[in-house]
Amino acid sequence: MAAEIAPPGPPPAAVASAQTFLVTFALVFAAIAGLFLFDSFLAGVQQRAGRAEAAARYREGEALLARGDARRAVERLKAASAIERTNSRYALALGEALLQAGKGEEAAAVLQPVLERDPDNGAASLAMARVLRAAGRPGDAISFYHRAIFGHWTGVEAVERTRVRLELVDFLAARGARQELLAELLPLESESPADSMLQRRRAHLFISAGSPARAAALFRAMLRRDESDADALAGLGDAEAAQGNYRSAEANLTAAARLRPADAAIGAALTQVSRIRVLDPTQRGLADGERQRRGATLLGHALVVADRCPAVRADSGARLVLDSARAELAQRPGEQALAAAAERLMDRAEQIWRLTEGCSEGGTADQRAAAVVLNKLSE
Amino acid sequence: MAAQAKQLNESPAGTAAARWLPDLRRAVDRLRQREDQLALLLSLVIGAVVGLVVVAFILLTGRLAAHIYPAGSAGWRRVAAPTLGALITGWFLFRHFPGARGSGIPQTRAALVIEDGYISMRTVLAKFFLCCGSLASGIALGREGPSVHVGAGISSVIGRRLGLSREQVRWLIPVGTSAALAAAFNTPIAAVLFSLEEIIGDFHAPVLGSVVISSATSWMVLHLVLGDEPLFHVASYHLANPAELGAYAVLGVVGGLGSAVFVRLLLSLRLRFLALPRRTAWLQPAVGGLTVGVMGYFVPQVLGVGYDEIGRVLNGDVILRTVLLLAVLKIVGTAVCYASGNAGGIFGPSLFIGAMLGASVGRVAQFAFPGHTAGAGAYALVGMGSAFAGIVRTPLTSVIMIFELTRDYSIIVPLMISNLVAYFIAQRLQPVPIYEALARQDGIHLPTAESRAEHERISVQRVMHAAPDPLSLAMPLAEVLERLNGNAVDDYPVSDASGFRGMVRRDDVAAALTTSPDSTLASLLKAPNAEGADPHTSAHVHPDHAIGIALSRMGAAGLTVLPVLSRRNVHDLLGIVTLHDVLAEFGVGGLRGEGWDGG
Repeated sequence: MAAEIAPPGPPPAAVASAQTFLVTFALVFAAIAGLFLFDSFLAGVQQRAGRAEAAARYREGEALLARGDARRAVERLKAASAIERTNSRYALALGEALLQAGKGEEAAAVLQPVLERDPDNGAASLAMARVLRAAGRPGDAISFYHRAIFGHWTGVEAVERTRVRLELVDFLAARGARQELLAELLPLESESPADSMLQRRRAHLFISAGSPARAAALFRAMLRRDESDADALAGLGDAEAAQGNYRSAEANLTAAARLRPADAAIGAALTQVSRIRVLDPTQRGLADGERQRRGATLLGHALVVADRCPAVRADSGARLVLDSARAELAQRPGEQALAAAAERLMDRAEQIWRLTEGCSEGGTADQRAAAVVLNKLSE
Repeated sequence: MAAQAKQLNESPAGTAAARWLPDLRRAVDRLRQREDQLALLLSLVIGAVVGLVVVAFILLTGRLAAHIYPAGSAGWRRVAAPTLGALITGWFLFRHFPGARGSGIPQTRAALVIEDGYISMRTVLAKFFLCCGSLASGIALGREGPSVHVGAGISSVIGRRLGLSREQVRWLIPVGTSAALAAAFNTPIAAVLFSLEEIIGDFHAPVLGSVVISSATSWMVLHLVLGDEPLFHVASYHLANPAELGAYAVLGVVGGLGSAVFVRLLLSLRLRFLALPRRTAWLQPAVGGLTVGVMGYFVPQVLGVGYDEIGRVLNGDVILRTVLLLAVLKIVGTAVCYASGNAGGIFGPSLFIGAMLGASVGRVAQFAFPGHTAGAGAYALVGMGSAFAGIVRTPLTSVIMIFELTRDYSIIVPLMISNLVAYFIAQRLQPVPIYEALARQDGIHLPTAESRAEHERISVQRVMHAAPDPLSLAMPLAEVLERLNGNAVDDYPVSDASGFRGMVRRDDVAAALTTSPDSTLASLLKAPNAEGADPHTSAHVHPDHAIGIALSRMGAAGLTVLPVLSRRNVHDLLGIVTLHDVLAEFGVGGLRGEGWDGG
């Protein structure tokens, strides 16, 4: 049998140090790999937990907002947004909550990064439009409404665009921006041609936009589909009244009232049209004397409003005009001068009515009817 | 069997191993001898390891805290968790791991200065897990100090395992600390500055390169795992009005006062706790836990570090009464937690205190000067830096750190002003910085910035004498010796037509005289182009050198007199400085008034 091989002796010192060196580095690199995996796992757990918490805060915030508790909703939504900073949905909800809580500037600051990340975000643009609207910056608000209309949406884009446009339309109607309102109403037809509720609303808005003819056309189209559509009849009546066709307006409103006798709005509109019809001096077929009488009535109404208008009372020039108008009102023109007198009285009424801008709200039913006629004269 | 062994060595695997293993070992040996390459490799490795460990520490603490305090948890948890956590960690710290107590910064500095960089693996692991538990339970301390200690410890362990020299292991400490801070705060530049400014105390330390590399590596690792999110998301702030700098200066005063109050309270409470019987040491941390728990029951924001609350305040969510209350409670809570012996740091709480104080000042400024001041959030941001500068006493690190935390340069001027004001006020009211003071309470005297700078303040210019008439090269040695014997010093300058040539020693002259009595001085000095003949390389000093440098050069050259040469022309002898004069300047042996007699 061969002799046993002597076991190897201990390695020399230099070789042992190198081995320790290598082993240590190997351990360190193994530790790096292990730690990286461990940290990545922990980071993943942390992210998932964070997202779950953010979602819970978001749901709480939305619920509070729906109940009208904007202040507490802001706290919850801020927490959600702080956890997931790049989540646009949370940021938008927070922006809305801040706006409802009366913190418009903060809302704008929250929405700005969302828009910087995604300038075409329709929802963010709409939210910013609302913020700017509340801040009294209508021009910028309209700009953002347009960005929202043409931006991209997560839901059905056509539906969202129409919804935004309608909101813009309401805003413009409330501001009395007729031309801009008209510009927004026209595309609505192509966006939702089959929506009858929308068409009805459009038609009424056309009247506000100073385009009663288009409104009348829409209402007539509705009536062709259904003759007994009381709303369409009433709407047509309003449209024709706006065009100065009071007889036709009265007829349509009367028909609407017959179909819906308990409808107070139709009744009131009919009464109003009737009052206007007997006040409007510009109707065709009126005799000079009747025109002169109506002109005097309108001037009388305008003087009543002017007398209670602080701006007019404070203006010495305006008071002179009023005194002159009273003098004219007291005159009794001859038969030959009735036409001229009618024109003078209407001009004077229009002049005084312009002076009372901002003071002409309210009054009796007759005064309100007179106001409609005077507004029409002033256009 | 011999045949079997031979067969083994001659097998394919054995042959391959036998071929590359010696090469690998030679490469390792070469690496060990190339310090620069080794330093680079270690910086990268330590940066990666420490970065990953600190990230793990942060994540683990967060997960644990989430389990201890689930959403909607009852109020009793806020009292029970910190108390129990402090009790458990206190027992472990006292019984098994005393080296893991405290914030970690003074312990790291002590390891660097006193222990040759030694920090045991046991301490590292204890610090990691016990601080994790302590902070997760809600103790009002920070994670950055423990991260620094862990980072330094890992460097120490790796260095020792690799068989590096003590000096090399020592210099790995700041490499680990910068990696730790870079990962903990996501502030790589501030991490480097802190390591130099606070840990080493020298901005020109030879390990600057390694510190930078490890910080950068750690930062990259952090980004790989957690992404590029700053610690605080802050709106962009600007100076609303140049006059607002006055308000920021006021903030500096408030920050300085608050810092001094905090530090004094902490130190005085700690002394009281240290005076208690040693057998109660394991129970003392529970006092801190209970205190912060009771506070936290009513005001939950006091628990833990409070980074969420800082974030809210930085974004302007400020109610004056609330932030003032939080500032006061945090000062008290953190002081009690630390003084009672809980494991954790004061970086994070410093930022919290500063943010609350800053927000308070900002809110008052807004009331007083509406429309002319920035939001309270801007003041909270600057306040963080002020308190940090006042408490930790690292003004430069503080400025850069706040800048890195917010990534906004526009607030930097108010930050600098406020930081410096806070720094000076805190220094006046509490001359000893907190880490030195804490170490002293433990009987350890760490070097201070003042002591380091002290010897650098006295320059050669202050102690030098006018140059005596130089000896000529043509002078006979006997005459030279006679001249030297008439003076108290042993070395004398020699010049020729070109200017200063060197120094000559009395002993050398005496020895040369015995062998060549007729020689001149020229025979003693080296030829102009010989090695050591050039004043550029022979021992000398310049007037602006610190006298410490003169002393060290005297020792290195074996001279008691050094020539003072002009920096503009090293052959221009401006004067001399003697050992006697240097010692006299330090007041050694009552030597003042004696000196060179001019020959």
